[in-house]
Amino acid sequence: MSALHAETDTTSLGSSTLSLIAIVPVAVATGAIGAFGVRMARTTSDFLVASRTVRPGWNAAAISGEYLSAASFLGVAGLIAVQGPDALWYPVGFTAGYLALQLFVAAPLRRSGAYTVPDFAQIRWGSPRLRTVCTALVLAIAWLYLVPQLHGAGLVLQQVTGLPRWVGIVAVALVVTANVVAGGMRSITLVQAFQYWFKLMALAVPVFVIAIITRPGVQSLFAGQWAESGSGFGGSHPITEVYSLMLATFLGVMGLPHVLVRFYTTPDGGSARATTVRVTALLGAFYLFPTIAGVLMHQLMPPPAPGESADSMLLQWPAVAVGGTVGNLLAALVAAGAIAAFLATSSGLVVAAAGVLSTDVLRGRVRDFRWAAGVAGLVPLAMALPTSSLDISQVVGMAFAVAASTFCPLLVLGTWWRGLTTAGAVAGLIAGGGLSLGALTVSVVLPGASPGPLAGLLGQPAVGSVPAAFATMIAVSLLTRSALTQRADAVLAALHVPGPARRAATMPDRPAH
Amino acid sequence: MAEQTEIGRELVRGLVRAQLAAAHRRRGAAALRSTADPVRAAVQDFRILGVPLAWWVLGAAVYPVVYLLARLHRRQAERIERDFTDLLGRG
Repeated sequence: MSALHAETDTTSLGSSTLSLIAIVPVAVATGAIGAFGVRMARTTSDFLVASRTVRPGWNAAAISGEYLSAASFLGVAGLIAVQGPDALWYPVGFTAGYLALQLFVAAPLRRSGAYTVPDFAQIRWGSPRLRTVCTALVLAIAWLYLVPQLHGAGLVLQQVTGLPRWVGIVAVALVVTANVVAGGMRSITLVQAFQYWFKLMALAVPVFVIAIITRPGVQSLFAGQWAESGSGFGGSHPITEVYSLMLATFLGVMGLPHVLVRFYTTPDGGSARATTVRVTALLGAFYLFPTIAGVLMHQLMPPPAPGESADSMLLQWPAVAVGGTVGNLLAALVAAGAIAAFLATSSGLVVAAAGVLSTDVLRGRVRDFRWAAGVAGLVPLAMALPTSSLDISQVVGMAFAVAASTFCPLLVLGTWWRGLTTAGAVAGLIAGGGLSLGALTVSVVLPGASPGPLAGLLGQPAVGSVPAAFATMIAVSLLTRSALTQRADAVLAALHVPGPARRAATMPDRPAH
Repeated sequence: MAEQTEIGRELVRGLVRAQLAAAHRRRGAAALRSTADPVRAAVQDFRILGVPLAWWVLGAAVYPVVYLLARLHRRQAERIERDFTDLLGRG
């Protein structure tokens, strides 16, 4: 690490200035558009879902732009550089999750008219109790996802300005919260779509330029133990950990609050499917670049010191690889891309959390939404400040695990099986949520305490908690079968019957928005 | 369809089952692929253009496959919906 620091120190002034010059316009543009958006957004529905007319092409870029977070932008490249091919499962899972979303929930969910999971629970089962459980889980997932984003933003600003990390964390949490309170970023699909292309460019250009300047030999890039798969993510059960991560990411995407809400902005079920297909293409194109960056970084850069996260490697990489003005320019581009990634995802998450807070806890007026946005943005700030930074991708993987253990079984069984009862749904959510959140809490709070052979799996609980949630939902539903009503048939019809025949199949009752 | 008649319910259940089967076929293909990958990754020494096979599969090849599976599923789901609408139109 000391050699690395010496090298970056000589250019730190120029690189900081350039990075700040690159970051400020990104933040100002986001804020300005938020302020402009407030005049266009008149109702809570405008704040949240852009009035449901967004075409698949734009919507797919917007979903990808919002989805590609600091975990994808900084985390994936760093993990690949440190852990080798097993870390490739992160981007593969982040992408393949949209395939599961496409197969099982995209079109029916859009037809349900729900834009949050609590809405879906209300429409499908009409149970206030189930709705409350879902609301609590949306908040848990959104905040678990937000904390590593804040840590990432603090890291970027620390690298660029040299200020302590907490300054960056506080500054960025305030910017995002203020922006959502003022504008409701969601209404600006165009911005999120632009964010995708900007992030792609901010990573692709450095990768191409550095590859051309350094001209590494391909054979020498993939040398040694690192290039071989099978070592997992550093735990004691590599294969189980890989499968657990696959399960969490593949099934977790459909339960992420900021992803789900976007599908409501498409006109109908068919265009929800068309949107998902395009998202898989856009994500696949993007993830090629963190992969190549990770490979090139492994050769050029020393591994992070024990206890340090791998997230800062990408920020330092251009200076180490090429140096000089070109290196500083590329580093500035990467920093701006990382800030864009951070702003897009955290705004989406704060909007999603504020959405459920304002409709389920407050009374759902625009003023309530603003209060809720304040709470939704400041709670994760309070969570991020006292905690130290783990790898961003690792913590984000935990949020996926919770989503996969709770909302995935709820949505999949609720959409396809008329027999899922309210009691079954509540029991399954509590089982899956309790197991996954419990395991994660133990692994974060007591990282040293390893209870026997399961130690490595506490940080990757999906392999146990997902089947447990499905099994609980099915078993309790079968036991409470007598509680089933005609409502299940009516709702399933409304979820699956396509366009022309839909007039006939009407929903029993819709939530008031 | 308007009232929850027995025939209407059966029709919808048929639709739901067909769509679910379509989803499961694609998921099966995806699962087969992903379980095969750790096995294939065991073939460490095989390289194409100097890049080990595991890197090709996980770093590049998997993305077009995900895209194609999503596209195939969309076409099939729409075909099932067309058939269902036609059936309603005839009846």
